[in-house]
Amino acid sequence: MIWLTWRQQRLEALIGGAVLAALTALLVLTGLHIAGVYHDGNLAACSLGKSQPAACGDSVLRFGARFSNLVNLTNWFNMVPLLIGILAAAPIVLEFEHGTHRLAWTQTITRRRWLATRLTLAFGVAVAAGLGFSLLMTWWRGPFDQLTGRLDTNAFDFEGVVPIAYTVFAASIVLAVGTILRRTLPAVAVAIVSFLALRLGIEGWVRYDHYLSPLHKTWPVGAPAPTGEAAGYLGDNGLTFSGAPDAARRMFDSCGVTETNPRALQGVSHCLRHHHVMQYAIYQPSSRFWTFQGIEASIFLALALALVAASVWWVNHRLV
Amino acid sequence: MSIALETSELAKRYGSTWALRDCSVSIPQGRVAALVGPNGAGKTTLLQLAIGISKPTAGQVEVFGWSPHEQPLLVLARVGFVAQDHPLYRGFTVSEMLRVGRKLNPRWDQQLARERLDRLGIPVEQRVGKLSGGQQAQVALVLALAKRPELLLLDEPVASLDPLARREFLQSLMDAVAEGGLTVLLSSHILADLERVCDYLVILSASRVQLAGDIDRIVADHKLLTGPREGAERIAARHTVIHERHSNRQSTLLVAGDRLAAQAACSAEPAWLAETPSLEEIVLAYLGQPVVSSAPAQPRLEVAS
Repeated sequence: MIWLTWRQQRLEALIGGAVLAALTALLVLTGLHIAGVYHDGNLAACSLGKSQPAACGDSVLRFGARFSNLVNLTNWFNMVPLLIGILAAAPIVLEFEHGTHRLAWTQTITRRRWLATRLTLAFGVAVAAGLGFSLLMTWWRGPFDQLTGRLDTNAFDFEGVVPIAYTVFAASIVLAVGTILRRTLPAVAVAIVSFLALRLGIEGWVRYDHYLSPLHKTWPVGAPAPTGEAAGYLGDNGLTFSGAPDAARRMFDSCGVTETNPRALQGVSHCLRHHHVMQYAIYQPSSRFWTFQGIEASIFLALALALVAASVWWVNHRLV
Repeated sequence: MSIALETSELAKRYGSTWALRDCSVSIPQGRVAALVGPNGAGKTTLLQLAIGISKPTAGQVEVFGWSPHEQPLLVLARVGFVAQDHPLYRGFTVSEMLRVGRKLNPRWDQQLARERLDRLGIPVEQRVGKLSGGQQAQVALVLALAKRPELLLLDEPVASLDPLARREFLQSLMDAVAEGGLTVLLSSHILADLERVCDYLVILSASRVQLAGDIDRIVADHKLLTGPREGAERIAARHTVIHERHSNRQSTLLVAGDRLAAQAACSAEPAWLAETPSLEEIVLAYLGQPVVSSAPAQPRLEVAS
């Protein structure tokens, strides 16, 4: 049965393996370069939690700007868990589509054992590939994470345990929809749409607002920001001033806030401080990384579990 | 004689539709039984219940005394099954298909499989998807036979094949039967193919068993009576009429009953002639009958085996 399962997953495993190998090559090459730049710039001294030398602000910004295109490119990697999940579950659905499950179930093997083997291998592969992807991305992003933390989307989505949960969830939708429809392409289409909808929905409206209440901090204009603010996820920030709205406008005009000349800005912040204007930030501190990982992974794994349970029930009771 | 497959009041419902109802039938060991009926009559359902990939809604099914869905491994090891359209892993080579069979069946006979494929001229290194439809059906049959089954269930095995492939498939099947120890139940909606191969018949129509028994006995127990139209009612009153057909002057009745009764009827009505019907005429007569009530509607022929 294990040989049969492997033989049936072979093509998908090779495709997935090739994609992951290409990804690994790309990440290792660029990752070594990034680590070199990080080392040569002595940026470790600027990492979070260290007493920051004065030059840090600039060099961290330059480091970020230098690799911003590359980091933006990694947004596409949000599709990797989806792809792995589809490749892991599609061979099972193909079997129902082609009716070959009737061939398997009429050999001397129970449906229960057939299903257990297929699911164990499919999800085992999904978990292993998701874990590999997460480890690779965590290594690659190491220098960035040292400087800016891991809670913002372009780190959080690729690190820790959530990539595994996303992968397992993607495989489960393909499995559940495919088992009921007995059609692979519609199952994959439904999986892509619902995966992206849920991922974007949770990231945009749930994760940073509701997992834990965001922190609010205010501090005088021109003073250094409280530690943790820059490293976590910044929900909103700006200036705050207690007084009537028209008073604020008048005060901003009198301080010349429209000026963009840096030297003039020094004067502006002096003027604002004089009028008791405060800076504020609403943010999630980077120390909440693992808590958020746990909550997000639990959501996706719970949904995946429900989908797999529904599929197993359907296979045992409805499928002939 | 012992029974290979026995069902009693077996029924299967999908949603609100009964696929099979009140199905009581037994196939004695060693027979080659034809399961005949129109599409949607419940043939596939009966075969799936017999192999245990479907669970009955009501009633019992036993294969060599075991329940297919409660003791699946006992039944699966003894029963070969070729599903409709003979599903195979199209990307596998023939020898990989054999490997599947060997891995999943304790009684697998690799030598038998290789010999049969050799005889059929099917190359084992060929991909299954590249074989012709007839060859694919043959591979499916080989897989089922190499389990060394005592009962072989075939669901419309020749429906999708051209006439030549159909004949070759049935020839393979007859060769396997000739080797002995095999009971076969095969479904079809084409009777002509089965008549040469089968010695037992089950007619399924509108989810019910209409007739089951030895083909020789069934043919002997039906008569085709032909005579002038005006005598038809008198004849009909004395017989169980399965089917009647009238032209302007002549009537033809297919009746159940033995030879003596028919002769007696015809000697009382000298203008009438009794003939032995063909099996096809009998099957068509039973299938042509509308079924309405919920009790077994048709006169059932009891055939002692």
